[in-house]
Amino acid sequence: MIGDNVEITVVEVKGDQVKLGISAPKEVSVYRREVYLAIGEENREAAKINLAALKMLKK
Amino acid sequence: MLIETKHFGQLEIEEKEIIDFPEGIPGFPEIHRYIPLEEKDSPFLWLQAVDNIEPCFVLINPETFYPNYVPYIDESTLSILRTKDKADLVYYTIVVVPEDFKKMRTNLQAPLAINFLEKVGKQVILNQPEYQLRYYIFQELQGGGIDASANQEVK
Repeated sequence: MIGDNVEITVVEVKGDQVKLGISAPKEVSVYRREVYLAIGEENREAAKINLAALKMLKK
Repeated sequence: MLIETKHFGQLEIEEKEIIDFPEGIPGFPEIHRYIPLEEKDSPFLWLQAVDNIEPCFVLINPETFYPNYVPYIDESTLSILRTKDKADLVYYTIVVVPEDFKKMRTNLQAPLAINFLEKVGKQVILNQPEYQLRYYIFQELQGGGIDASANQEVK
């Protein structure tokens, strides 16, 4: 359990893989850490805009 | 107030137009205040940090090229955005314009949901697999219409 209302269960163990189930109230956001990190990485890429290309495109 | 922008030099902005991102956004968690800057005759909207010269993002309304873009917004997100009604929210997605600009793309998986009435925003991470992290838009913006194959080939 995490807090009073987030429950983590092992759904399946297969070889070296473990499948986890997370049950949480609908107001709790659940996503994998790598998803969050990938989005942060994409945001950092977005901050380096190729301004010349963008200007060309708008014409 | 006068701010220093990344692409437009010094600009005088209206403080009441500032959008607060209480959680920051992934990659820039410490930056909370942004100002949207419109450009004439452009499909893009700029989102410039107020208290820092970086970051400055290029945003687009995903409906421009992806009709029926309907993010699922949960209740905790609505409460962060200080509304009970999804109709108060406007969605923009962040555009990446890399050196190889043909790989220009936008992030449909994590749109910025903005409540302009309350001046608050959040980058929402969706659990809708049809909305990709990297949705390639170069051809669509060239007026070539939807070319779904580009999104399967360029990975």
